[in-house]
Amino acid sequence: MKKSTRIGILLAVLVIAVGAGLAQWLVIRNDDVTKAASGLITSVEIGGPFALTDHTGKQVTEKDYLGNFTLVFFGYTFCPDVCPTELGDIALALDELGDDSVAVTPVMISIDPERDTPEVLSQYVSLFHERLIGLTGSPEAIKQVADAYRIFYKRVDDPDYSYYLMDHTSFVYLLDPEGNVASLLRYGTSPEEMASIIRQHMRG
Amino acid sequence: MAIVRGLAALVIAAGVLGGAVPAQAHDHVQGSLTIVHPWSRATAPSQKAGGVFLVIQNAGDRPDRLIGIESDMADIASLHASIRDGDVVKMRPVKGGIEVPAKGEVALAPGGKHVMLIGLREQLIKESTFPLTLIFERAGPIEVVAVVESAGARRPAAGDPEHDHDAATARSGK
Repeated sequence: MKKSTRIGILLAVLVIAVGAGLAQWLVIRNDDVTKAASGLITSVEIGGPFALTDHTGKQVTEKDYLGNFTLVFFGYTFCPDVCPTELGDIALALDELGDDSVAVTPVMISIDPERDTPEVLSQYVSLFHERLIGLTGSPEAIKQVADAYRIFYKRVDDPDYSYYLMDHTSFVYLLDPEGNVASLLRYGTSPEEMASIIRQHMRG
Repeated sequence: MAIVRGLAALVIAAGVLGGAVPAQAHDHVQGSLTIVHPWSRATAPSQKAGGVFLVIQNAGDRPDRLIGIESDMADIASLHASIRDGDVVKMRPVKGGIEVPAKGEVALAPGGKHVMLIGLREQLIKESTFPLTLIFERAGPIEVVAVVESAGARRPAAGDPEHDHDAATARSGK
């Protein structure tokens, strides 16, 4: 075998090995989220501490919401379609839970802190649910919490106009009273399904 | 057509006089096109964007195309689509308009294609109404009246009372 052929084979093996490793890593990452979604494990590294400002202007951290279940949605107020739909579904899920809904705190974290000041959020949240909490913060604080929850978001400018929109991951997380992710509710989960998943976790 | 215009005027009048219209379906017919129950969602004063949803039915033998929107309610009225890319949601302008097939229909609904009102000049208040004009390639402009539903409505209250938040609340309150 020529030397160049041997090097060629060696390179090919190396490429395949790296590729396989990468694929494995991706599968594991995907698996974490899937397991969290089905509620099999709760100790995956999603979520974590944050320091933000609520819609009343109060400084808050994740500790403020411990003791209750929390539904966390990442969105923005300049979003006329997906966010109102998702927040409407959260409100319906809480209705579905009846008296048990007091054990659940609905929270929207803005991924558009530039426009979503506490004042803007305070007018917005009450349209959906009397107990919905809006959270915003500095761009850095929002980046930190979005990364912790594996939320992708990106500003998209329209060259024709002066406004912009946001691309964003549309996840609703259910956190247990200890603040751990108990379940991941993907966009399109019906209010009835949401309520049923929350009930399952309430029963333990 | 005059009757339809009259009906639309009546709906507007009811909205202006009563501050609210009863939640019942309303359609606008022009030629072979029927615009079924245009509706929107309540906004906060601070909210500068809103969506309008409706169904377009075409009884004719030729397709038509929704190519534009005009509204005094906002600085810009345009056609947008929400697109799902895995778990990421995106909204993009619809290029080239929305085709309405012959003997068919197209729905502008939450989570899909919709009219986007950008730079709202007025707050959209639940149960109020506002006019907007749909511009079709063949049928030309059709003026319609949109009814404002609750902020988180998934569908118009008149369309599907079984699943409506407010209808459910109203029922349980009786």
